[in-house]
Amino acid sequence: MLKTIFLIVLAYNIEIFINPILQSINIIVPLSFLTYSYFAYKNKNGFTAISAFFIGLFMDLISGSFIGLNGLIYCMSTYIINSYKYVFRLFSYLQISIFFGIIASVYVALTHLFININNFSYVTLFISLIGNTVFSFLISIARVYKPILFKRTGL
Amino acid sequence: MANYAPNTSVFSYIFFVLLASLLLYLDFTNETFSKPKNAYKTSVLSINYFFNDYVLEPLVTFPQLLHSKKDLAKQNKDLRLKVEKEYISNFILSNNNNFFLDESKLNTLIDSKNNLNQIVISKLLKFDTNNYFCCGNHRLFIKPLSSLINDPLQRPIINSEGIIGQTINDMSGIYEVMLLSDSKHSIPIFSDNFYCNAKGSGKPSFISCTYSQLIWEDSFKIGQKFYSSGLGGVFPKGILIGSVLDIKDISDSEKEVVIRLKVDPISENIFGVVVSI
Repeated sequence: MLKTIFLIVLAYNIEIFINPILQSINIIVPLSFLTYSYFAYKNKNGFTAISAFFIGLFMDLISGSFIGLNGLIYCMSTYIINSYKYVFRLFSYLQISIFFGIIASVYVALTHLFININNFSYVTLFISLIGNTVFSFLISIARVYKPILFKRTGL
Repeated sequence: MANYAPNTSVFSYIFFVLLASLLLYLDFTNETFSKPKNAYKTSVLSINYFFNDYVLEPLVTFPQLLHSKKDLAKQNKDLRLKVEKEYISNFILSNNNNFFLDESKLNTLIDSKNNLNQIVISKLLKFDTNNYFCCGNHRLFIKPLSSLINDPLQRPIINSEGIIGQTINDMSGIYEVMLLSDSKHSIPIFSDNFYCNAKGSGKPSFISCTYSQLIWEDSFKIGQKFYSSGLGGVFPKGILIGSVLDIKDISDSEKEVVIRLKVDPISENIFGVVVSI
């Protein structure tokens, strides 16, 4: 679990650097949330509600957003991911990528409702949906074509 | 036999979702958790500051120090010269005005020494550019290079181009600055006879004023300049804030003037806290 939290924090720090650049083309990639979702998806038993809640609270603290915002979204997304854990086996990589793209966009929408309501933009959401789907698909493709990298790092 | 998905007990999720919603409601409406959040920010910034100034910088500058003895000696000479000049001017000031035949020269010197507009130079500690470009929360953190400020809250912050915001939080000597473009910020400004409270738009470098055409019938020009009015007592009067970029119709009678700020807060790392106006 500590490794997961460390990687989520690392992803958050990368997110801080890449999002100001991607913002110019209206794409927001919630890398920390996608990393969390990935680990929730990869975990055999799925994350529990309590761990999702506390990881969310921790993310609220380090990101400076309202306390409870990430906790709420992480709990809901964990429930959805756990519910479809066995159904995902029937899906292709593209379908799973679309699923992650959608939940990432829902995350962006919910966070922007609270922290950026003045500039809420459906265009940003739509382009982010495409961007996140493509990003998730590229990661899944990388897992297939570069499996050594993922095996070595234990991902 | 069918496999049940693990960890999908609805009750635990409902409990934690409700708990998270309650925390979110409390923080969103009353800022209940601002103290622990500030404590966390202070500790992170202090650790960063300590690491950069006492660990990283000495390591980086150590090789340079070995090769720059000559430069140091020269700098030392120059500094001595400057200190001596300061001693002389202080001596002149403290020993009546007989040094100057023209009394106005002395007064000029005294004014420059005891200027009421005292600026405390501060350096940037942290600026969350992610939040600045994506969201309405435009804050940065600064630390004074010299002495701490007695009453640091609601002080105007400037860089070499003009006003960028005001201090809103003192976290043990580290000051949180709310920028003019923050969605919660407002600054009293004027242009000709028109006065308004310009609110931060949440977008970088933009603030806006709304007004009713029933009250103010004159029109604005694109590029028309707006200055701080000094009302409210936080910002000094007559400083150029920005110029009109766009005028939008909100309703039949209401209009919004979008003002592009003159100053870009990310262009510099050194800021001044205006202590007294």
